[in-house]
Amino acid sequence: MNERVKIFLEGDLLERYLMDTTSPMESKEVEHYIEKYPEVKKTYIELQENLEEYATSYAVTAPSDLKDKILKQVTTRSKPAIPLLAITACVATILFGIMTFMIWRQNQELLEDRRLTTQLIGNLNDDIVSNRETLQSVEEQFMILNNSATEKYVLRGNRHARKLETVAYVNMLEKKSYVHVVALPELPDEQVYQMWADVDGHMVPLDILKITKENLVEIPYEERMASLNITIEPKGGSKEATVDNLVANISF
Amino acid sequence: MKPFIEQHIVELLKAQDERAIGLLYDHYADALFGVAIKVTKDEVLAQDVLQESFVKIWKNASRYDASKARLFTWLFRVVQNTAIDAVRSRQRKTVKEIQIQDSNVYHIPTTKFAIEHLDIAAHASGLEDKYRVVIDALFFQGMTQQEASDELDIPLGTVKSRLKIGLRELRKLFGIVIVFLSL
Repeated sequence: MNERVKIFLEGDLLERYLMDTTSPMESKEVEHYIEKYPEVKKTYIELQENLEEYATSYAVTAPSDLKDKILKQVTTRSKPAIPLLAITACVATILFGIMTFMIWRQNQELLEDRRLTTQLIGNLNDDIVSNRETLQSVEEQFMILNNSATEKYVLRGNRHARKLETVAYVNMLEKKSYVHVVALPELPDEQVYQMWADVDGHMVPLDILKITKENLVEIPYEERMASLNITIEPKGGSKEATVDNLVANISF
Repeated sequence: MKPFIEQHIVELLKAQDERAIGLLYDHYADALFGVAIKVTKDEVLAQDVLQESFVKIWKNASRYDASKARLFTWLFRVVQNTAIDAVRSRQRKTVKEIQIQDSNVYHIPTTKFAIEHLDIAAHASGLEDKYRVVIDALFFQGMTQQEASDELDIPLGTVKSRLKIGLRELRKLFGIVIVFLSL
Protein backbone atom coordinates (compact mmCIF):
# COMPACT_ATOMS: atom_id res chain seq x y z
CA MET A 1 0.00 0.00 0.00
CA ASN A 2 1.17 3.49 -0.83
CA GLU A 3 2.83 5.10 2.18
CA ARG A 4 0.73 8.27 1.79
CA VAL A 5 -2.44 6.22 1.71
CA LYS A 6 -1.32 4.26 4.74
CA ILE A 7 -0.69 7.46 6.68
CA PHE A 8 -4.03 8.88 5.50
CA LEU A 9 -5.96 5.79 6.60
CA GLU A 10 -4.20 5.70 9.96
CA GLY A 11 -5.47 9.22 10.64
CA ASP A 12 -9.10 10.02 11.44
CA LEU A 13 -9.94 12.31 8.49
CA LEU A 14 -12.02 9.67 6.71
CA GLU A 15 -14.04 8.89 9.85
CA ARG A 16 -14.65 12.58 10.48
CA TYR A 17 -15.63 13.06 6.82
CA LEU A 18 -18.14 10.25 7.28
CA MET A 19 -19.59 12.08 10.27
CA ASP A 20 -19.63 15.36 8.35
CA THR A 21 -17.36 17.10 10.84
CA THR A 22 -14.52 18.01 8.49
CA SER A 23 -13.74 21.57 7.40
CA PRO A 24 -14.26 22.44 3.70
CA MET A 25 -10.48 22.17 3.14
CA GLU A 26 -10.34 18.78 4.85
CA SER A 27 -13.37 17.59 2.86
CA LYS A 28 -11.62 18.48 -0.39
CA GLU A 29 -8.54 16.57 0.72
CA VAL A 30 -10.60 13.51 1.62
CA GLU A 31 -12.52 13.63 -1.64
CA HIS A 32 -9.22 13.81 -3.49
CA TYR A 33 -7.95 10.67 -1.73
CA ILE A 34 -11.25 8.83 -2.33
CA GLU A 35 -11.15 9.67 -6.01
CA LYS A 36 -7.47 8.87 -6.51
CA TYR A 37 -6.86 5.81 -4.32
CA PRO A 38 -9.09 2.71 -4.62
CA GLU A 39 -8.06 1.54 -1.13
CA VAL A 40 -9.40 4.78 0.38
CA LYS A 41 -12.59 4.53 -1.68
CA LYS A 42 -13.10 0.92 -0.56
CA THR A 43 -12.58 1.87 3.09
CA TYR A 44 -14.98 4.80 2.78
CA ILE A 45 -17.65 2.55 1.28
CA GLU A 46 -17.14 0.06 4.11
CA LEU A 47 -17.41 2.83 6.69
CA GLN A 48 -20.70 3.95 5.17
CA GLU A 49 -22.00 0.39 5.21
CA ASN A 50 -20.95 0.08 8.85
CA LEU A 51 -22.70 3.30 9.72
CA GLU A 52 -25.90 2.07 8.07
CA GLU A 53 -25.71 -1.32 9.74
CA TYR A 54 -24.87 0.18 13.13
CA ALA A 55 -27.64 2.78 12.92
CA THR A 56 -30.06 0.13 11.71
CA SER A 57 -29.26 -1.92 14.79
CA TYR A 58 -31.01 0.80 16.80
CA ALA A 59 -34.00 0.92 14.46
CA VAL A 60 -37.33 1.63 16.11
CA THR A 61 -40.60 1.11 14.29
CA ALA A 62 -41.61 4.54 13.11
CA PRO A 63 -45.25 5.57 13.70
CA SER A 64 -47.33 4.73 10.63
CA ASP A 65 -49.43 7.90 10.94
CA LEU A 66 -46.23 9.98 10.71
CA LYS A 67 -45.81 8.86 7.10
CA ASP A 68 -49.21 10.34 6.22
CA LYS A 69 -48.35 13.58 8.04
CA ILE A 70 -45.06 13.89 6.15
CA LEU A 71 -46.68 13.07 2.81
CA LYS A 72 -49.40 15.63 3.51
CA GLN A 73 -46.85 18.28 4.47
CA VAL A 74 -44.67 17.59 1.44
CA THR A 75 -47.69 17.57 -0.88
CA THR A 76 -48.94 20.86 0.59
CA ARG A 77 -45.52 22.43 0.14
CA SER A 78 -44.89 21.16 -3.35
CA LYS A 79 -48.32 21.45 -4.94
CA PRO A 80 -48.68 25.21 -5.17
CA ALA A 81 -45.65 25.37 -7.43
CA ILE A 82 -47.35 23.34 -10.14
CA PRO A 83 -50.69 25.21 -10.16
CA LEU A 84 -48.83 28.52 -10.03
CA LEU A 85 -46.80 27.51 -13.03
CA ALA A 86 -49.89 26.18 -14.78
CA ILE A 87 -51.88 29.32 -13.94
CA THR A 88 -49.06 31.52 -15.20
CA ALA A 89 -48.88 29.52 -18.42
CA CYS A 90 -52.68 29.68 -18.83
CA VAL A 91 -52.79 33.42 -18.18
CA ALA A 92 -49.92 33.98 -20.62
CA THR A 93 -51.67 31.85 -23.24
CA ILE A 94 -54.98 33.67 -22.72
CA LEU A 95 -53.28 37.08 -22.87
CA PHE A 96 -51.43 36.03 -26.00
CA GLY A 97 -54.72 34.82 -27.50
CA ILE A 98 -56.53 38.04 -26.58
CA MET A 99 -53.70 40.17 -27.97
CA THR A 100 -53.63 38.13 -31.18
CA PHE A 101 -57.41 38.47 -31.53
CA MET A 102 -57.25 42.23 -30.84
CA ILE A 103 -54.50 42.70 -33.41
CA TRP A 104 -56.44 40.60 -35.94
CA ARG A 105 -59.60 42.60 -35.22
CA GLN A 106 -57.74 45.90 -35.50
CA ASN A 107 -56.32 44.74 -38.81
CA GLN A 108 -59.81 43.82 -40.03
CA GLU A 109 -61.11 47.25 -38.98
CA LEU A 110 -58.25 48.96 -40.80
CA LEU A 111 -58.94 46.89 -43.91
CA GLU A 112 -62.65 47.81 -43.70
CA ASP A 113 -61.73 51.49 -43.22
CA ARG A 114 -59.48 51.32 -46.25
CA ARG A 115 -62.26 49.70 -48.29
CA LEU A 116 -64.76 52.37 -47.20
CA THR A 117 -62.27 55.16 -47.90
CA THR A 118 -61.58 53.76 -51.37
CA GLN A 119 -65.32 53.53 -51.99
CA LEU A 120 -65.80 57.08 -50.71
CA ILE A 121 -63.07 58.38 -52.99
CA GLY A 122 -64.75 56.54 -55.90
CA ASN A 123 -68.11 58.10 -55.00
CA LEU A 124 -66.53 61.54 -54.74
CA ASN A 125 -64.94 61.09 -58.16
CA ASP A 126 -68.33 60.05 -59.55
CA ASP A 127 -69.90 63.12 -57.89
CA ILE A 128 -67.25 65.36 -59.40
CA VAL A 129 -67.93 63.92 -62.86
CA SER A 130 -71.68 64.22 -62.30
CA ASN A 131 -71.36 67.79 -60.99
CA ARG A 132 -69.22 68.71 -63.97
CA GLU A 133 -71.84 67.30 -66.33
CA THR A 134 -74.60 69.13 -64.41
CA LEU A 135 -72.59 72.32 -64.43
CA GLN A 136 -71.99 71.95 -68.14
CA SER A 137 -75.71 71.36 -68.70
CA VAL A 138 -76.67 74.34 -66.54
CA GLU A 139 -74.18 76.49 -68.37
CA GLU A 140 -75.65 75.37 -71.66
CA GLN A 141 -79.16 76.11 -70.39
CA PHE A 142 -78.03 79.45 -69.08
CA MET A 143 -76.51 80.30 -72.42
CA ILE A 144 -79.68 79.27 -74.22
CA LEU A 145 -81.91 81.23 -71.86
CA ASN A 146 -79.76 84.32 -72.19
CA ASN A 147 -79.58 83.94 -75.91
CA SER A 148 -81.53 86.69 -77.69
CA ALA A 149 -82.85 84.12 -80.17
CA THR A 150 -84.60 82.16 -77.42
CA GLU A 151 -88.34 82.68 -77.19
CA LYS A 152 -90.30 82.21 -73.98
CA TYR A 153 -93.81 80.76 -74.11
CA VAL A 154 -96.08 80.49 -71.10
CA LEU A 155 -98.73 77.78 -71.24
CA ARG A 156 -101.67 78.23 -68.82
CA GLY A 157 -104.35 75.67 -68.17
CA ASN A 158 -107.94 76.01 -69.40
CA ARG A 159 -111.02 75.32 -67.30
CA HIS A 160 -110.03 71.60 -67.09
CA ALA A 161 -106.75 72.47 -65.41
CA ARG A 162 -106.84 76.03 -64.21
CA LYS A 163 -103.77 75.83 -62.02
CA LEU A 164 -101.52 74.45 -64.77
CA GLU A 165 -98.61 76.66 -65.67
CA THR A 166 -95.67 75.64 -67.80
CA VAL A 167 -93.03 77.81 -69.44
CA ALA A 168 -91.41 76.70 -72.71
CA TYR A 169 -88.14 78.06 -74.08
CA VAL A 170 -87.48 77.52 -77.79
CA ASN A 171 -84.36 78.51 -79.66
CA MET A 172 -84.84 78.07 -83.40
CA LEU A 173 -81.18 78.77 -84.18
CA GLU A 174 -79.71 76.32 -81.71
CA LYS A 175 -82.67 73.94 -82.27
CA LYS A 176 -83.17 73.45 -78.55
CA SER A 177 -86.35 73.30 -76.50
CA TYR A 178 -86.81 73.41 -72.73
CA VAL A 179 -89.80 73.44 -70.44
CA HIS A 180 -90.14 74.63 -66.88
CA VAL A 181 -93.11 73.00 -65.21
CA VAL A 182 -94.23 75.60 -62.66
CA ALA A 183 -97.52 74.02 -61.48
CA LEU A 184 -99.52 70.92 -62.39
CA PRO A 185 -102.98 70.20 -60.93
CA GLU A 186 -103.30 66.76 -59.46
CA LEU A 187 -104.57 63.91 -61.69
CA PRO A 188 -105.83 60.43 -60.93
CA ASP A 189 -102.98 57.86 -60.78
CA GLU A 190 -103.91 56.43 -64.17
CA GLN A 191 -103.57 59.79 -66.03
CA VAL A 192 -100.64 62.05 -66.99
CA TYR A 193 -100.04 65.42 -68.66
CA GLN A 194 -98.38 65.04 -72.11
CA MET A 195 -96.83 67.80 -74.25
CA TRP A 196 -97.22 67.82 -78.03
CA ALA A 197 -95.83 69.89 -80.92
CA ASP A 198 -98.08 70.80 -83.80
CA VAL A 199 -95.98 70.10 -86.91
CA ASP A 200 -97.56 70.41 -90.25
CA GLY A 201 -101.00 69.75 -88.81
CA HIS A 202 -99.86 66.64 -86.90
CA MET A 203 -99.46 66.36 -83.15
CA VAL A 204 -95.95 65.05 -82.44
CA PRO A 205 -95.44 63.68 -78.86
CA LEU A 206 -92.68 65.52 -76.98
CA ASP A 207 -92.64 64.51 -73.33
CA ILE A 208 -94.71 63.65 -70.29
CA LEU A 209 -94.77 66.57 -67.86
CA LYS A 210 -94.03 66.18 -64.20
CA ILE A 211 -92.77 68.31 -61.38
CA THR A 212 -89.01 67.76 -61.00
CA LYS A 213 -86.25 69.21 -58.87
CA GLU A 214 -84.63 70.70 -61.94
CA ASN A 215 -86.13 73.91 -63.18
CA LEU A 216 -85.50 73.25 -66.83
CA VAL A 217 -86.03 69.96 -68.65
CA GLU A 218 -84.94 69.62 -72.24
CA ILE A 219 -87.56 68.29 -74.57
CA PRO A 220 -87.20 67.13 -78.21
CA TYR A 221 -86.99 70.00 -80.69
CA GLU A 222 -89.17 69.79 -83.74
CA GLU A 223 -88.65 71.80 -86.89
CA ARG A 224 -91.64 73.72 -88.13
CA MET A 225 -93.42 73.70 -84.80
CA ALA A 226 -96.61 75.78 -85.08
CA SER A 227 -97.71 75.39 -81.50
CA LEU A 228 -97.14 73.60 -78.22
CA ASN A 229 -100.02 71.68 -76.63
CA ILE A 230 -100.69 69.85 -73.38
CA THR A 231 -103.29 67.08 -73.10
CA ILE A 232 -104.39 64.67 -70.41
CA GLU A 233 -103.51 61.13 -71.50
CA PRO A 234 -103.62 57.65 -69.98
CA LYS A 235 -100.67 56.69 -67.76
CA GLY A 236 -97.53 56.10 -69.79
CA GLY A 237 -98.59 58.57 -72.48
CA SER A 238 -100.18 58.14 -75.92
CA LYS A 239 -98.91 58.06 -79.47
CA GLU A 240 -101.90 60.04 -80.69
CA ALA A 241 -103.05 63.14 -78.86
CA THR A 242 -106.52 63.07 -77.30
CA VAL A 243 -107.65 66.46 -78.50
CA ASP A 244 -110.75 66.37 -76.32
CA ASN A 245 -108.46 66.40 -73.31
CA LEU A 246 -106.46 69.46 -74.38
CA VAL A 247 -105.79 71.57 -71.30
CA ALA A 248 -103.27 74.18 -72.58
CA ASN A 249 -101.77 75.39 -75.81
CA ILE A 250 -99.80 78.26 -77.27
CA SER A 251 -99.13 79.11 -80.90
CA PHE A 252 -95.81 80.51 -82.13
CA MET B 1 -31.05 -1.85 0.84
CA LYS B 2 -30.47 -2.88 -2.73
CA PRO B 3 -28.59 -0.34 -4.85
CA PHE B 4 -31.35 -0.51 -7.44
CA ILE B 5 -33.98 0.71 -4.97
CA GLU B 6 -31.57 3.33 -3.65
CA GLN B 7 -30.94 4.54 -7.19
CA HIS B 8 -34.68 4.52 -7.96
CA ILE B 9 -35.45 6.60 -4.85
CA VAL B 10 -32.70 9.07 -5.71
CA GLU B 11 -34.10 9.47 -9.25
CA LEU B 12 -37.59 10.10 -7.86
CA LEU B 13 -36.20 12.56 -5.32
CA LYS B 14 -34.32 14.50 -7.98
CA ALA B 15 -37.47 14.59 -10.12
CA GLN B 16 -39.44 15.84 -7.06
CA ASP B 17 -41.75 12.86 -7.46
CA GLU B 18 -43.74 12.47 -4.22
CA ARG B 19 -43.49 8.69 -4.44
CA ALA B 20 -39.89 9.13 -3.27
CA ILE B 21 -41.05 10.17 0.21
CA GLY B 22 -43.25 7.09 0.55
CA LEU B 23 -40.41 4.80 -0.50
CA LEU B 24 -37.91 6.60 1.74
CA TYR B 25 -40.24 6.19 4.69
CA ASP B 26 -40.86 2.51 3.97
CA HIS B 27 -37.17 1.69 3.65
CA TYR B 28 -35.40 4.09 6.01
CA ALA B 29 -37.87 5.52 8.55
CA ASP B 30 -37.25 2.85 11.22
CA ALA B 31 -33.47 3.26 11.16
CA LEU B 32 -33.72 7.06 11.06
CA PHE B 33 -36.32 7.11 13.84
CA GLY B 34 -33.93 5.03 15.92
CA VAL B 35 -31.18 7.57 15.25
CA ALA B 36 -33.51 10.44 16.23
CA ILE B 37 -34.46 8.68 19.48
CA LYS B 38 -30.81 7.91 20.29
CA VAL B 39 -29.91 11.58 19.90
CA THR B 40 -32.94 13.22 21.50
CA LYS B 41 -33.75 10.51 24.06
CA ASP B 42 -37.33 11.66 23.63
CA GLU B 43 -39.72 9.73 21.42
CA VAL B 44 -42.14 12.63 20.91
CA LEU B 45 -39.34 15.00 19.98
CA ALA B 46 -37.84 12.28 17.77
CA GLN B 47 -41.11 12.15 15.81
CA ASP B 48 -40.89 15.89 15.20
CA VAL B 49 -37.26 15.48 14.20
CA LEU B 50 -38.11 12.71 11.74
CA GLN B 51 -40.93 14.75 10.21
CA GLU B 52 -38.75 17.86 9.89
CA SER B 53 -35.89 15.77 8.47
CA PHE B 54 -38.08 14.29 5.74
CA VAL B 55 -39.26 17.77 4.75
CA LYS B 56 -35.61 18.92 4.64
CA ILE B 57 -34.67 15.86 2.58
CA TRP B 58 -37.50 16.63 0.17
CA LYS B 59 -36.61 20.31 -0.13
CA ASN B 60 -32.86 19.74 -0.46
CA ALA B 61 -32.98 16.68 -2.69
CA SER B 62 -31.18 18.55 -5.46
CA ARG B 63 -28.15 19.01 -3.17
CA TYR B 64 -27.62 15.30 -2.69
CA ASP B 65 -24.51 14.12 -4.56
CA ALA B 66 -24.47 10.35 -4.96
CA SER B 67 -20.78 10.43 -5.86
CA LYS B 68 -19.87 11.77 -2.42
CA ALA B 69 -22.01 9.68 -0.11
CA ARG B 70 -24.45 6.80 -0.08
CA LEU B 71 -28.08 7.77 0.31
CA PHE B 72 -28.27 6.48 3.88
CA THR B 73 -25.16 8.41 4.88
CA TRP B 74 -26.80 11.63 3.64
CA LEU B 75 -30.13 10.81 5.32
CA PHE B 76 -28.29 9.96 8.55
CA ARG B 77 -26.48 13.30 8.53
CA VAL B 78 -29.74 15.22 7.96
CA VAL B 79 -31.50 13.41 10.82
CA GLN B 80 -28.47 13.62 13.12
CA ASN B 81 -28.07 17.39 12.58
CA THR B 82 -31.81 18.04 12.88
CA ALA B 83 -31.96 16.02 16.10
CA ILE B 84 -28.93 17.80 17.61
CA ASP B 85 -30.46 21.18 16.71
CA ALA B 86 -33.79 20.12 18.27
CA VAL B 87 -32.07 19.06 21.50
CA ARG B 88 -30.11 22.32 21.72
CA SER B 89 -33.25 24.34 20.99
CA ARG B 90 -35.18 22.52 23.68
CA GLN B 91 -32.36 23.00 26.15
CA ARG B 92 -32.37 26.75 25.52
CA LYS B 93 -36.13 26.98 25.99
CA THR B 94 -36.32 24.93 29.15
CA VAL B 95 -33.15 26.00 30.90
CA LYS B 96 -35.00 26.90 34.12
CA GLU B 97 -36.83 23.59 34.26
CA ILE B 98 -33.61 21.71 33.65
CA GLN B 99 -32.06 23.45 36.64
CA ILE B 100 -34.61 21.95 39.01
CA GLN B 101 -34.76 18.56 37.38
CA ASP B 102 -32.32 15.75 36.96
CA SER B 103 -30.61 16.64 33.71
CA ASN B 104 -29.94 12.98 32.96
CA VAL B 105 -33.59 12.05 32.95
CA TYR B 106 -34.93 11.25 29.55
CA HIS B 107 -38.09 9.69 28.24
CA ILE B 108 -37.87 5.98 27.88
CA PRO B 109 -39.08 5.03 24.41
CA THR B 110 -42.36 3.17 24.52
CA THR B 111 -42.02 1.76 21.05
CA LYS B 112 -40.24 -1.48 20.39
CA PHE B 113 -37.19 -2.04 18.30
CA ALA B 114 -38.09 -2.96 14.76
CA ILE B 115 -38.23 -6.75 14.69
CA GLU B 116 -36.75 -7.02 11.23
CA HIS B 117 -33.54 -5.41 12.47
CA LEU B 118 -33.13 -7.59 15.56
CA ASP B 119 -30.46 -9.78 13.92
CA ILE B 120 -28.35 -6.77 13.14
CA ALA B 121 -28.93 -5.38 16.62
CA ALA B 122 -27.82 -8.68 18.11
CA HIS B 123 -24.60 -8.54 16.14
CA ALA B 124 -24.05 -4.86 16.93
CA SER B 125 -24.46 -5.69 20.59
CA GLY B 126 -21.41 -7.90 20.18
CA LEU B 127 -19.33 -4.74 20.04
CA GLU B 128 -17.36 -4.08 23.21
CA ASP B 129 -18.71 -1.22 25.35
CA LYS B 130 -15.47 0.79 25.20
CA TYR B 131 -15.87 1.02 21.43
CA ARG B 132 -19.64 1.47 21.55
CA VAL B 133 -19.55 4.50 23.84
CA VAL B 134 -17.06 6.24 21.56
CA ILE B 135 -19.03 5.47 18.37
CA ASP B 136 -22.34 6.44 20.04
CA ALA B 137 -20.86 9.72 21.28
CA LEU B 138 -19.57 10.58 17.81
CA PHE B 139 -22.47 9.16 15.73
CA PHE B 140 -25.46 9.92 17.90
CA GLN B 141 -24.47 12.69 20.25
CA GLY B 142 -22.91 14.88 17.61
CA MET B 143 -19.75 15.29 19.67
CA THR B 144 -16.42 16.18 18.16
CA GLN B 145 -13.57 13.84 19.02
CA GLN B 146 -12.24 16.40 21.52
CA GLU B 147 -15.71 16.71 23.14
CA ALA B 148 -15.94 12.91 23.35
CA SER B 149 -12.51 12.83 24.94
CA ASP B 150 -13.59 15.38 27.56
CA GLU B 151 -17.00 13.81 28.14
CA LEU B 152 -15.76 10.23 28.39
CA ASP B 153 -12.59 11.30 30.21
CA ILE B 154 -10.27 9.42 27.91
CA PRO B 155 -7.32 10.80 25.91
CA LEU B 156 -8.01 12.15 22.41
CA GLY B 157 -5.66 9.59 20.89
CA THR B 158 -7.63 6.80 22.57
CA VAL B 159 -10.90 8.20 21.16
CA LYS B 160 -9.39 8.12 17.68
CA SER B 161 -8.02 4.62 18.02
CA ARG B 162 -11.22 3.26 19.59
CA LEU B 163 -13.27 4.78 16.78
CA LYS B 164 -11.08 3.16 14.16
CA ILE B 165 -10.90 -0.19 15.93
CA GLY B 166 -14.64 -0.05 16.76
CA LEU B 167 -15.52 0.51 13.14
CA ARG B 168 -13.16 -2.28 12.12
CA GLU B 169 -14.87 -4.56 14.63
CA LEU B 170 -18.25 -3.54 13.27
CA ARG B 171 -17.02 -4.44 9.81
CA LYS B 172 -16.13 -7.88 11.09
CA LEU B 173 -19.47 -8.28 12.90
CA PHE B 174 -21.57 -7.20 9.95
CA GLY B 175 -19.32 -9.17 7.65
CA ILE B 176 -20.36 -12.25 9.63
CA VAL B 177 -24.03 -11.30 9.17
CA ILE B 178 -23.57 -10.90 5.45
CA VAL B 179 -21.76 -14.24 5.17
CA PHE B 180 -24.39 -15.86 7.38
CA LEU B 181 -27.25 -14.48 5.29
CA SER B 182 -25.58 -15.48 2.07
CA LEU B 183 -25.31 -19.07 3.30
